[in-house]
Amino acid sequence: MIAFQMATLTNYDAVVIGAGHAGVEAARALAARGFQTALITFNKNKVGAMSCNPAIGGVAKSHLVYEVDAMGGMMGRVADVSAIQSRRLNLKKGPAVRSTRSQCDKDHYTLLMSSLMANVENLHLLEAEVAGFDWDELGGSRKINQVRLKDGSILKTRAVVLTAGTFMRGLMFCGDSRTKGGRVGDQAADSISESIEKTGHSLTRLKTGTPARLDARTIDFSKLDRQWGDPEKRQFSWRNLDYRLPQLCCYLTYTNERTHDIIRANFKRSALFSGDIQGVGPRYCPSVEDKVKRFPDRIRHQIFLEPEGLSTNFVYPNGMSTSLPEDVQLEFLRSIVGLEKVELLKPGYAVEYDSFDPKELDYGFMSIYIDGLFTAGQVNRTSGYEEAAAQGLWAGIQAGQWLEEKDFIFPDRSRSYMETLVDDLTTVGTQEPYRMFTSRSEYRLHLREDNAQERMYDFADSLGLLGDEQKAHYDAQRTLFDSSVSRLGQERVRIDKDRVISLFEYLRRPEVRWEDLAADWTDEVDDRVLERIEVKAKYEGYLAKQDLELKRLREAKEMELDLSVDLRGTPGLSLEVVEKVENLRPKTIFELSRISGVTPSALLTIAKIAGRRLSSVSRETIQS
Amino acid sequence: MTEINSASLNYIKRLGTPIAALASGLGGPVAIIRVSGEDLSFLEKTFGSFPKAGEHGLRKLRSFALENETILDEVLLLNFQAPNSFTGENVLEIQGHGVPALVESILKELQRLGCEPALPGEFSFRAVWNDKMSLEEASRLQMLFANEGLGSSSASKLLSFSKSHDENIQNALSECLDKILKARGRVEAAIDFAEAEEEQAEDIASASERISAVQNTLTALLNTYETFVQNASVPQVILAGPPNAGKSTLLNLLCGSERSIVSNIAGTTRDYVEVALKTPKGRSFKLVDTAGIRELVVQNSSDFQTPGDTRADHENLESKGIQKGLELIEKAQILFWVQDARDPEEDVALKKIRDQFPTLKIVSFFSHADLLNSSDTEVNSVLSRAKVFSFTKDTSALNDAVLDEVDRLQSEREKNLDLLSQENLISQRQKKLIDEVKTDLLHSQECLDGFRPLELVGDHLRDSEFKLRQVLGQELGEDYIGEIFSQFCLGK
Repeated sequence: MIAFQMATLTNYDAVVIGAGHAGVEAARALAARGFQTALITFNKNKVGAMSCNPAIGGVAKSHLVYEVDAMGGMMGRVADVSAIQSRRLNLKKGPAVRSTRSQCDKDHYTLLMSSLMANVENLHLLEAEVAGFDWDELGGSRKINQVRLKDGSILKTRAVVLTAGTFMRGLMFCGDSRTKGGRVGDQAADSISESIEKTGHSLTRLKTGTPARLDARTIDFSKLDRQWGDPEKRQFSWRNLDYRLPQLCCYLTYTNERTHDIIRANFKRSALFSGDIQGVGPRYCPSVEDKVKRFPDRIRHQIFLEPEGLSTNFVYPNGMSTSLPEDVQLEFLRSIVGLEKVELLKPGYAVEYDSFDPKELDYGFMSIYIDGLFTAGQVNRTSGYEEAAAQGLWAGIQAGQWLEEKDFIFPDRSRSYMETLVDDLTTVGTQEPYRMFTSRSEYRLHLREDNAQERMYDFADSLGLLGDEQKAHYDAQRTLFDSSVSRLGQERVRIDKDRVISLFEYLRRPEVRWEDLAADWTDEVDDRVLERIEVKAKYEGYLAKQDLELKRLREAKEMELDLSVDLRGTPGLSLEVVEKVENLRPKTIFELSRISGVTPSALLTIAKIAGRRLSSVSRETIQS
Repeated sequence: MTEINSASLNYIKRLGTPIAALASGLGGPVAIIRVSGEDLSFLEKTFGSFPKAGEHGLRKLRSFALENETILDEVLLLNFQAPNSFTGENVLEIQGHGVPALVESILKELQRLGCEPALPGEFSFRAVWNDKMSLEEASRLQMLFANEGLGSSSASKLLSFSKSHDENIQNALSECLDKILKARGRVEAAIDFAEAEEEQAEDIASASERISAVQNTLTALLNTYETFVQNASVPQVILAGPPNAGKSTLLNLLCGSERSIVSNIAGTTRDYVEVALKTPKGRSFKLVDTAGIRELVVQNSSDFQTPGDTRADHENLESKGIQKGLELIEKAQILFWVQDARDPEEDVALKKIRDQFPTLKIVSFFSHADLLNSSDTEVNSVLSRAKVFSFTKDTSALNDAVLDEVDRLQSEREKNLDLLSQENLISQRQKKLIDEVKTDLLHSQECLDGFRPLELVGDHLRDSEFKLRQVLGQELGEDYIGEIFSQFCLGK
């Protein structure tokens, strides 16, 4: 019997290549708007796999998850249902930097994500390998038109979102051995880089590492400190979490001088130091040999031993990423308290892969070389599942705009970390894997976990990304919030002999927390709403000033520029500024103000000559 | 972090925010302070209700430091309603005497109420933005555009607009900037790497240390500036001493027919009188008569309670008067201390003043010299000390001798002035910025000490960085994130 495969030809509005954390969000965002979307993966059951740390969230990363969830995304709800330990961090450092972190059952997360994605309307999950993609060349512009699969099938399409993660020409290093692959157990995506090289995009090799996985049965937990999650319910998603997996604790231990000596003795066997690995790695996620080399004075480094799931013996040692050979790994691990008899279920390794320069994307996250090509996730030189998810969502949104032939959306840094992220990537770019920090945002006080839904609601709604249930939930929370604020404003508390103030005023005091409000009705109000009220009470003053600034910025964004006017030779404008403006073509006063070298007086000059709203009667002409 | 050219963006962000600056006239007879913003009604708290648009109104300004009713000066308010104003926004012009201390205190009060100090050219920026001034006009005013808000210059180095070229200052400030960046790095690491709990206390302590170091450097720069200011301005000579020692007599002797009163400041229960005088060599100075200052100083200490005084009396005077008296002495360069020659032992109050104000130059006067027993050795020894004058109400040559003494003291001062002006002197604009930086750093320390949320530190330090770069004339740095993480080893 002859087995043969039919090469098929299908039409899709959009094709998403790679079903990792970025791919999933991109595909969902497109499908939700009614586009027929293909999501291509090597393995249908490994959609949204966690290649490294089995945790979602963390400082600043959790903000991204909240924002993605507020836009109807997948990551938050899947993390909530898969969580085996959740904590809230930075509780005492201020409301803006409070962040949620959930360790998840790795397999549960992936299986749930896989099955959810297989059932999204308009979304077609395809198990296949991509051979390449092609485009039409018409009069100087290139427009993507199809994706070719290895089996000969052709997917005709108008938009491609490339979210291949660490798979493009992925090469794994463990000591002396090298294997092709994007992740242990998975093949590399080699063919697609050919198409990319034809586009003109410059690819750079990056590297990232992951620690060994330890066998829980060989660890002596009795010697180690335990760390449990918070007893309170912690969740990312708006959906009410009424079901939780059983919770686990993790364990704390430390390296010591012996560990460091072993590592030092084996520096030359590290793929990183031997020069085999070309790629640049992240400073914020150094391998253990990096740490020992760069910080010789530290006598110990903290290690968290995190269980990877309820029904698995895999333990993830947080902080121990390495590319030293397996025998060395075993040796230095066994020098650590509690790990004297440890066995490895998988050795640690580093993976090197092709990455794009995100500066080669315009602010619509579209390739500057090929119209209709979008890239998102780790391929854009970021690290972290959450950063990938946020980019995937953004690329999906912009691809949708492209398909509807609408304008791209200019990222608003004052609205979300997601937009701060994409703005940073496309404007400044990055030499090493970009990770989100709260300090990257100048609007940190505004961009909080507690107000993510509020910030994103209108934006998400205008794009049609929210389901009715989510909208109803938001409306109800809004009403509850407003009514609670006014109730607190009316109820009085006596603070000393002759002074009575409202509960809301009382809440302004630094030492008062929302948990202290002992009114009988506050028990019925959702904790998260109460927390938001507390933030409002305490931060109103700080935020009022920023609010005014933001209002002005928005006005500046509406002031359009008509650059058909010739700026050359204008007194007060240097040639340098004129050239920059001609190259970058800012559309509004706001965009103009962000170009370096444009001083306030240059800004005014250009605004007066080219601004539409500024000059009420007619534009001014300057006598040269 | 993409704070690309925040300067332009900053001007746009600030549109409508109330800004204030001296528009002209420091050192001249009249100073004009201009305030511009979308809504200035919050100023009515201090300045009283505004006159009608386009009209002027006289207002008495109270002394802001104390909560009493001490009138500081009278000013003229001019109210301009948007859009019929210089900037197109609501504008309030405050015209007062061009006395530096007065101008400073008005600007401080405006800032306290919520007005931002204006950026260079900011009024003109708004004027052009709101179509009140054409670009052509603005470009003709280019010189002023860059320097606006600092008033018309006098020959004094104080009002120099240019950056201080002093290398020492550049280096000191660069170091401060570096420390601030590192401090910020530490704090942000403590926040953004919350899992690495071990290191956090260390991070915070290290940040706090660096900030303290910067505060010290800046304080030193400001002190040098203040000293210069004090020395450069017209010296104040305070006339003080026990009651009935003969101060009024001395005053009359010194003023003679050239007496001209500058201002009459109604005080608590005392009147302070200021007289402008000139030495034979042409140096101007102000003689301030503070009747009763001794009582004020002494009442500070309970040892010298006068029987019959109630506690309330003391507290009254203490709170109202001492502050003022000591304030005056603090601002003065020379003290004329008058005692009755019949009681020449050094007054307790004088000793206190000497201790508290070591740089104050003191000239002692003894009145009723004619009633002395000239053979009294104790008295004679006192009288024969240097810098001592004795007089009766008829002493005629006193005037010249005293004025010569003032000349001498002042020329000593001026020598110091020249020395000082060589090194470590910041310009007025830099001083304003550095004052603001100090406030930002103070707020940062409050956060680090736990009084306010830690996350606010980032904003305060970012503002400090921005301002210091302005002082140094630098562009904004773009990759300070690199600064943070070059120091840290952290897992995911």
